Amino acid sequence: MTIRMKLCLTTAAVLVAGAAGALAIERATSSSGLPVTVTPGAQPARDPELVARTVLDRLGPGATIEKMTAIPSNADISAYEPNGSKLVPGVEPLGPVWIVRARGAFVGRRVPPGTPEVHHKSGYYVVEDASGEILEVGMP
Amino acid sequence: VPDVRRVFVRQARNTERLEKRRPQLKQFVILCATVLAGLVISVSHSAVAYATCTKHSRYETAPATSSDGGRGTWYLRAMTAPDAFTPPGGYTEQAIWVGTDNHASNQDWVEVGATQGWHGQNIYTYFTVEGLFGGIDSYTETRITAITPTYGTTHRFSGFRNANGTDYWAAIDGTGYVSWTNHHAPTNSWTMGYETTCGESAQVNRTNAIENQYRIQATSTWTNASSSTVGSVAPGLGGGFAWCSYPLTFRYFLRSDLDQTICV
Repeated sequence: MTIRMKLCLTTAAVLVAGAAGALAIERATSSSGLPVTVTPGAQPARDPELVARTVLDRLGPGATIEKMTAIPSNADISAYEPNGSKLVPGVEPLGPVWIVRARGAFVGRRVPPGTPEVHHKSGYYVVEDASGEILEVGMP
Repeated sequence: VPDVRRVFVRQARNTERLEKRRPQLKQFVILCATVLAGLVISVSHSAVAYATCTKHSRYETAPATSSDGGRGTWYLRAMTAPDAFTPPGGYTEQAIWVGTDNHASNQDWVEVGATQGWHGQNIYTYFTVEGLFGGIDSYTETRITAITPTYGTTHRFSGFRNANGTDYWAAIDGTGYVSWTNHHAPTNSWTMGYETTCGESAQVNRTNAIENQYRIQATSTWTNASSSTVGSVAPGLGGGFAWCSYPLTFRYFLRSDLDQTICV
């Protein structure tokens, strides 16, 4: 076996091991033991696994859940996410909602003319507990 | 003669050696090709790229220090987003992008409008977006769920500084719905028009914008735009743009089946 072959095999082995390691981490994070927090006043009915699946489906292959927080309503997402929305006083909120922080291919496309779309590896989704629908997405 | 024989023998040995190494070389090439293919596949899976069409817009620049908001009124005509279900979910929207923090409306902005298509659902909903790239790096989009848009109705969309002087509000028909806490005056430009994701035959019926104003910061009064520029048009999209009563009213469309020459 030549030195070149040995090098190539070593590189391949390292890459395969790395990929396998990454997959193992993803599986451990997304399949069970979701990091769920339910704040006082929130009474979510939806299975957190379904909420997580909604988010992971949007983000595509390789996405992982970092944190899931159920809160009473979407009145003030900015209290949990600094750049999140805050409803103007008097506007009827929806709730409870889930704030799901994740890693994955976040893409912001509703950008003004002349602005390239936004890409981040982390961000969050707000999912309504009652309907399971996405209300908000923010990044990074 | 012995020299010639030696050369022949050497050549024969070399050929033999090469023949022996051929399978090894073949293995080496296959292995490297496999590794490369794997890398290409993993990169193509991780890098998600979606094209955005952002065309048929109009652009207005207000005095840099005097404005703290922009607004427009338009007629909600039918539009389609055939790729609404295609991951990550296409859309067609009509919106106003109001610049904040003394940056152009394509750098720091508060956006408000109506969209067909929302994160994999083919629904028609109001929404608002904030983006900050002049300092803080952030991008957030959220649905406005307290009210629901209806085709065939006329509404005023605005982004302006809240009365407390800090936040920017996203408002419809003068009522604020969402407050974006990291956006500040002044507004030095704003943009209005439509935006659609590429790839399929989205349609925006002829839309008539009948108001185009900015708010004077010192007096909090609204005034008509005094000058304006038509934005770019995507080649091949089958859309168009025209002024009806320059610079106040205008119309735009995308593959619309309505008469494009009418300004009402």
